[in-house]
Amino acid sequence: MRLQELAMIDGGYWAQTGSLGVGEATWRINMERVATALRSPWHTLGASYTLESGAHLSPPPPACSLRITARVRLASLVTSCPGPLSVVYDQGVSETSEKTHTNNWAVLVDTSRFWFNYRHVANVLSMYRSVKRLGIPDSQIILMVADDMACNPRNPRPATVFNNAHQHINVYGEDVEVDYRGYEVTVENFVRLLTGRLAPSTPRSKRLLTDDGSNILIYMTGHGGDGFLKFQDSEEITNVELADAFEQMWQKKRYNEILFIIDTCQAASMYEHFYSPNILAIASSLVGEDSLSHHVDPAIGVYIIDRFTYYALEFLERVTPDSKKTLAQFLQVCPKRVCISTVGVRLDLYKRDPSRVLVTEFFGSVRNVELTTRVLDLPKCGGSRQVAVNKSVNTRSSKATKPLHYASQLPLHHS
Amino acid sequence: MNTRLGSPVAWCAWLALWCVGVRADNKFTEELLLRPLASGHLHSHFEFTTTWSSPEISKAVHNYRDFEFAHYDLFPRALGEVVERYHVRELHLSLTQGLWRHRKWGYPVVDAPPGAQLWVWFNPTTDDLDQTWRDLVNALSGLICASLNFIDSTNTVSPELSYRPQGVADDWYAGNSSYMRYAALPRENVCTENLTPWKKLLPCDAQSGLVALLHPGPLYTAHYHSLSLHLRPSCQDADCHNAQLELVQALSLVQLPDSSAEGYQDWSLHNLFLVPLIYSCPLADISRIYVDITDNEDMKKFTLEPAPHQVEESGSEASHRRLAVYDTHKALIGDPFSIDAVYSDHHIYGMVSPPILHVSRFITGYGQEGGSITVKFTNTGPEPLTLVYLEVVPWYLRLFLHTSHSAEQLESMYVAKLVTARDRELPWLYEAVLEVGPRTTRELSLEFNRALLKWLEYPPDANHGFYIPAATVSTILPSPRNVSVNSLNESTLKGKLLVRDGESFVRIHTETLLVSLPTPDFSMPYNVICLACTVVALAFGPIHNITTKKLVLKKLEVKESLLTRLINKIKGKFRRSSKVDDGGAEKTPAAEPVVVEENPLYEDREELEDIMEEEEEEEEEDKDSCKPSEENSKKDR
Amino acid sequence: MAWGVWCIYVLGAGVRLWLMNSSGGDFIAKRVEFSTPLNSWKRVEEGVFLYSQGIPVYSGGVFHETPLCLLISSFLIRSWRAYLSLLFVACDLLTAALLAAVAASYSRKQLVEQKKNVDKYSVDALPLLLTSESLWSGVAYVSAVYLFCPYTVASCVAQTTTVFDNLVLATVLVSMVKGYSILFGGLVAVATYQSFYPVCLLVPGIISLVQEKNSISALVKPLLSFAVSLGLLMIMSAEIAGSWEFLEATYGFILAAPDLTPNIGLFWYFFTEMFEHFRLFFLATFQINAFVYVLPLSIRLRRDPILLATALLAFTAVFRSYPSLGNVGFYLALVPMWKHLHPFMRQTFIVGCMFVSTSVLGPIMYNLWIFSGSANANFYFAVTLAFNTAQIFLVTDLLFAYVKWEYQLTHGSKIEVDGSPGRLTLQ
Repeated sequence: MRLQELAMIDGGYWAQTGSLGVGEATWRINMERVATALRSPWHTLGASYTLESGAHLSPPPPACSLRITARVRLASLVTSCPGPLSVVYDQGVSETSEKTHTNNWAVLVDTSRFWFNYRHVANVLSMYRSVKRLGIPDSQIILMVADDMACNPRNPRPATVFNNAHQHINVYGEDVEVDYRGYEVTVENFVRLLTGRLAPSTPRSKRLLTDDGSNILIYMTGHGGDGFLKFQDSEEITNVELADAFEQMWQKKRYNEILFIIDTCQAASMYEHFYSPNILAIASSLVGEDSLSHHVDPAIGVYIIDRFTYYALEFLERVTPDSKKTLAQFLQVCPKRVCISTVGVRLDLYKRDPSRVLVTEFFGSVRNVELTTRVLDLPKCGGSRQVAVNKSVNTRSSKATKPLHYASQLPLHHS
Repeated sequence: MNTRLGSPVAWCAWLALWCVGVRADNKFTEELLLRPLASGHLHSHFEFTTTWSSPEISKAVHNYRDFEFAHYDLFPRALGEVVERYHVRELHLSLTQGLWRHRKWGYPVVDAPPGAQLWVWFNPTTDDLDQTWRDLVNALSGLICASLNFIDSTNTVSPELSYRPQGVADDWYAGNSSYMRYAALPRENVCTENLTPWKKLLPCDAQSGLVALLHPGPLYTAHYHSLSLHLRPSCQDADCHNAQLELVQALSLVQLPDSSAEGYQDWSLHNLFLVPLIYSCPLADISRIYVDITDNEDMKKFTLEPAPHQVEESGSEASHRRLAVYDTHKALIGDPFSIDAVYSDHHIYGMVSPPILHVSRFITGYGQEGGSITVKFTNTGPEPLTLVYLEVVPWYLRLFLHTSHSAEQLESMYVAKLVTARDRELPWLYEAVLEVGPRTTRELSLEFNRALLKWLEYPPDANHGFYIPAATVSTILPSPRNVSVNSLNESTLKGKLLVRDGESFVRIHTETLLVSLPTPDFSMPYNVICLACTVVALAFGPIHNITTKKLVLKKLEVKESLLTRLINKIKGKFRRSSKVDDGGAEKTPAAEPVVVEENPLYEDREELEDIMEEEEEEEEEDKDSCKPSEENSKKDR
Repeated sequence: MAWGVWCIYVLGAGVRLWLMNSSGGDFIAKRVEFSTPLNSWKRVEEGVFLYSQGIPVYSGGVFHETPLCLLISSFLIRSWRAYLSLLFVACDLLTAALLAAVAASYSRKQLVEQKKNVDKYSVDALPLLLTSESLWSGVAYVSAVYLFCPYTVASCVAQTTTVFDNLVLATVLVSMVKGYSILFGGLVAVATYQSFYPVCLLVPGIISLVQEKNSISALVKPLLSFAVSLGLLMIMSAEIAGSWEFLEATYGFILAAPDLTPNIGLFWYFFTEMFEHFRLFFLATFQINAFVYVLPLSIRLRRDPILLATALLAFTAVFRSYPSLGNVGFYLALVPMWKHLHPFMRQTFIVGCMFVSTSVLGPIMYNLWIFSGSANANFYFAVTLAFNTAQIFLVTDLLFAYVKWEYQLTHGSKIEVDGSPGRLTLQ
């Protein structure tokens, strides 16, 4: 949340948070954080306060600064301040809405195993497809799929995963690289991936090599509950663990901004405990609600996509790498009448205005491209004029080394 | 990999630089074999061979040193760096889905078991090879997008006689199995995600050449699909003074061509792979398609359209092979190219004569306590065969070998290497040399007991079961009948396919097996701990009482409620009156002394008490009582 | 009388031989209640096979017997294979005879004690006193129980090495009762060498010997002979096995219990479901628990070392890492020596019913879990817990009965305080 204006009314100061444009999303204000944040400046200013909701608008006064992170009603303010108060935003970050990232990464996690969870794999592959199409290279995407649906013996169309009963798009595609698959998708591996504490022999494609200029898209899907996400039906990750992992990432300067999308039941509980800055969290359902799947494909026999991801994908299919669509539009992608569950958003940790952030800042990639208008004439491939393969300057005649030979393949001494 | 070229001038300069600056020789060949099998299936085998010869490589091979690559050209750098770093001399990796049916299809070009299989020969080095192996499998798992990182000491072995180096090697090196590691993961599945990085190792990437035929759809609908990487140092020429590094990327498929309504097994390249072949790889020296027409005398069974550029024939009788050769460099001129085979008659599903040796393995027994692995070797040839049987069994199946290795069985076989498993550390390595007589079937059984694992050692789908990797059978067949390749010396697929006469080495794999282990209840850890500790405490309590306390007589405080007292009073009055009437000696409940033990036997005790009271009275009567001791002395012997 | 004794021995041998040669023999040999990874004869045969092939026996996870046992078994299997069943039966008969001898000596000692202490006893303790008839019937019952108790019969039919362990334990008890201190030390060393837990028998033995001889040499001699014998056995084993690797495969295996094959004990399921970082702690706790009752019980039961030994054997049978029903049968055979305590035991009916029902339900639940796939491990575990509880109740009941009997001997059976009713409590 962001504080916009401060006003003096009824002998007390009122502050109002900015509007978010999400519509029906409800707010869960972390009162502890608010109280903690309020305590220190208030003591210096010698004020007391009560936390209430309700706001009034008024132009902000200048001079002495005050740090506020929630809607508050300031009961009284005894201050040595000569003039009216002004507002300073959380953590002293600048108010700029320009992009500050230098590279993009994506971590896409499917945590469900077994054939009847086909839709979770379809979810994550839909995101993979969009993200790849919009420019993030495979080397910067970590794809974790807990079970093999494409080449599953029960799949009537091997090597394909569809997210639509009319099989419009094969989201598995022909160019897919899964980094963590099968039994490798565990809570431990996921947290190690995020925090960077991997074994020394872990290959590059399984590492999240982000830095403080990286925008990371983290998408998780599977079965969840109030405060946890199930991994492969045998273990769980709790929202506290996830929040701590993100805090570790922040402390180690492993991200610039994170867009955290989660499509499970009671998904909003997973972002409840986040306390690191620059995280924008979107959940497909609130606590107490289930996320529903979209439709079943009778040929395959299972539900093949979840509602939130289906509509998100519909939106993303219309995004091109140079699109100007904003995150605020993305947040509106699944209103309650189509999603049936309410999409939850957490904006208080994210300092920028979503209506000024482009979707491609998370789903696309920063690419250094040089545009040219010169026309090039490339020779026709496969024709009579072949690419001259290097016919080498042959090796010098070798010195008289003893000849090599192949080993005997079955060295049995006949007994 | 679209290299964006600059102006044409720059391009020429770059090319010139290329030609001059590079000393090493990189060669790339791509070949495809199409072989109709006797059972009506079609076997396609792609081989992409990249060879790299340079004086440094040759020296490294001669001296058994690590390779040090510089100036990568066609050889994939991603693999080269892994090979350099981990002291690899020879590497064989395969990912397979499906089972190759030797009985119906003969012996393939490259035999691979279902799942993943990796075996590597390392250079002699002072580094800990086990650690190097662990690091290598991690690197390969990232390279090929498979879970090879599950290979660890519990499924790695170093067999003695099987899996000898296929590259140039001296006897002292080839005989030392400590330089070699072998592991198999039968559960690994292969899908497009493994094909993608594999394709990217090729010089022409996935763009042009025969690799463009590899569209995932038909590949994974096949009956058998095997993706493999084989890296070995090979002879550069016939006299073999210099060695080169050879990387073979092979893809084997067995498909059943869609037959027409009348049952003709017509097939075409386009129907098989569903993608057009338009461009050949410009970086390929040789780019050819072979159709095996060994059984197709004078094109009587099927005709090929277009006609082959060349027909190569070699050998006689068992080693007779005939290949129709298409040179794709000549054939692909910018239009889609396809080879059509038109059959003259429908396919007859009849008896397929089996090859000389085929093996079958299965599990016997019932329940989750024990069982046995039984393997059947069938020798259909006229000569006895000596074969090496390698079995790697996970530690949680405890083998009992004495039941199947009685003295009489050990007459025609011996165990070359046996490494007993250690719980959670080493698997069983069983390597035996057996003889199978002509036209006989021999059975070998290994009895096992199933272990109960710790609850965290079970995979998330514990009731699916656990896989036992495929066993390997290596033998030298007396003739090349049904054999696809039998020479290590050739560098092209064609050379390998035109087999030579005489003995042929063949290595075949059996089926993988699935066993279910007894599972505990995964939801019970706290309950179990509480209950077991309760039982322990049940012993602790009473013992503590017995050992730290002593028996003390305490006054009994009979607390009665008001009601009970009233009732007792009434009863007492009633009794007293009835006592006078009956004259019985019934005691009122209230007056009876309450005894601690409520043992029914104690009724006897009460009688005894009465008796003892009488005795006491008697004793009191005569003061000098020696009776107890007298009685004792009577009872004493 | 003697004719009756011979009769039961012949009958016992007959039952065992008949069962061994029937199909039931193979079936019983595979039951986990009798064959554990430590005493299964199949594993011994496997170890002998590996030894004959020159493969290191102790580097794997199959063979856990001691090297001397390996040597003896390889000789037996190679030369005496035909007579093996007879050997097992003979050992069982010998054990029964030795236990009868223990009971006889014990009875004699108790009667002598009684005569010495008769003046300490209260006047009305007459019916509580031991009579030679009751003690002699106790002796007969001891051997009869050992010969006919289904646990011991099946343990012999299954050809488990518990038969040999029981034989050595019986000799230990005989030497303890008869007062041969050096022999006792040596035999305890052999018993410890074979299965580790009988080391706790040193304490009752030393108490008994000290009470008999009343000199410090009775304390030193058995300890010294124990140490020397054990050392010799260890050195011989190292020679046979070639290295000290066997320690990890034998005693390391007993203490660390890595093999989680189901058995009648508490360890297997507990450690199957144990969290990894608590494993070592609970392992240590459980192993200490097997020995923790030695000291307190020996202080309390110092006047009756045989009862102490029986109680310790019983607790060992319940709390050891790989118990088998052969261990249970052994101490059950000793219980009839205290027939006189039976009137004071309160839970005989419950205990008896629990023994019968759990012994019947156990194999059924195991079959349902492993072969039918319809039950799960919890059923079998629950039945084994009930069985262990029954054993614990039996022994604690016996000890309580002893305590009460002792009290009533010295204080009389009248439960009165100054004429008004009172009661006995532990305080």
